[in-house]
Amino acid sequence: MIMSIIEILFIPIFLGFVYEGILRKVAARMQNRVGPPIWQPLLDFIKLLSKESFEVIGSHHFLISFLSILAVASLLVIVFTFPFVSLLNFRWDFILVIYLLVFSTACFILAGFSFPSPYPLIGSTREITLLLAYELPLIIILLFFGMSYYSLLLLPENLIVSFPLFFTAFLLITQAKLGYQPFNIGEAEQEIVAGYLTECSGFELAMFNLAKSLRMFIMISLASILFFNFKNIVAFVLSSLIILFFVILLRVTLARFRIDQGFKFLWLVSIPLILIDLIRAML
Amino acid sequence: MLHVIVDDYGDDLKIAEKIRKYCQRKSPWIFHFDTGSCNGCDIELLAAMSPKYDFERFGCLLKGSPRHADIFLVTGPVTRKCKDRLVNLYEQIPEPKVVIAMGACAVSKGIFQNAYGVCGPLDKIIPVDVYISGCPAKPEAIIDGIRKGVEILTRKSG
Ligand code: SF4
Repeated sequence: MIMSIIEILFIPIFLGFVYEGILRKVAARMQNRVGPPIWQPLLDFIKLLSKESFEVIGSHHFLISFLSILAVASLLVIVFTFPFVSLLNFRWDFILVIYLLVFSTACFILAGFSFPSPYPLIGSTREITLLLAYELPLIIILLFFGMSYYSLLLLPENLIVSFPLFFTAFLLITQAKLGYQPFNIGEAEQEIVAGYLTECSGFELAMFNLAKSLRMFIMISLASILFFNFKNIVAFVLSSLIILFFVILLRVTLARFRIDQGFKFLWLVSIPLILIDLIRAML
Repeated sequence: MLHVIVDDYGDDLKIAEKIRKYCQRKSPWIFHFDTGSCNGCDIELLAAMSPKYDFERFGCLLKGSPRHADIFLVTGPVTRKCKDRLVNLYEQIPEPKVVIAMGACAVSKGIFQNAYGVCGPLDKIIPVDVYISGCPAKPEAIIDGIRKGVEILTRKSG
């Protein structure tokens, strides 16, 4: 039991780093560069842990460290509800997934708000605005599946055949949730330095970066479980890699939306897509 | 007290130290600051990021915030207006850190030798670890400078 819990904690972290590394490598190859090695995010993580961590005047250092750990922890709990792991499977675990996903994003936003500096403030405000746009479609999709199939464990295979538009909308939402192009509005490098993470250094930055890679692992696995749900672990990883490829493709090829454009796009594209499939399912 | 602990866990500490040094060597994050350069050096830095040279294959990333950085890369002779900001930014970079002076301007004021608004060169104001010469410095020279800076970085952290 204890061994299995340790495995459950470390395998997602490891896979999160690997996915992040694949993302950086493939993005570099798409831009005709060589790119960093695949284990680069792990090296960055260890290096950041060995660095000094600043206490910013006017902010609460302990609170920010705590929030960074909480962001990682809440994401790790989601892994316990996945069908392969099945330690926490109960009726309505979809609602737990929705709650924990929002919770980890809220940790980022709160950390941004706790710094007395304009860049994190702007980044957090934008992220909240975006949260309003992508959280509703995500909740509709997850609640619909939750009401039809009760638990992640009971999902049938290959839902993508019956709900292709759900899948398209989910890809858009994934992009917004992960803060990748075209929705990297909250941490737009050219405008607001690094958004809500501008003032973080050392340990906190390492933890928030870990939370980001974990979030990517979880959103991609969730897409794979919801829409493919292969019981075979090799097929599961392959389907995740295909989804990861789409995420990278969107990230590399698109430019950033302005905040109002991004908001409108999410509402006017993803919600109608979802509604069409929803009505089709009801008829 | 400390050397007793080191004696007990000597081998483990050495391995941990080696891992840490390897990671530091492999992921230098750069913060670039322009203290009134002619922009030639800054464009060469961008060239070092381009597909032909691509310093990301060594793990280098250009970061926007000084708090994320390991290497402080400064171009240009330091103008009077910039001096305070330069010191401020230098202090905001977490330890261990390395300063690289890039281009003839940052190394020795270059063509701005007798200009009235200039109070450089850089090593008068903050301690500099690596000098990259050239006007502008070549991308190959920049990558070489970063490599040397990274070696100093691992030595600085003990
Ligand atoms: S060294 Fe030459 S290229 Fe670089 S900033 Fe000075 S004058 Fe410009």
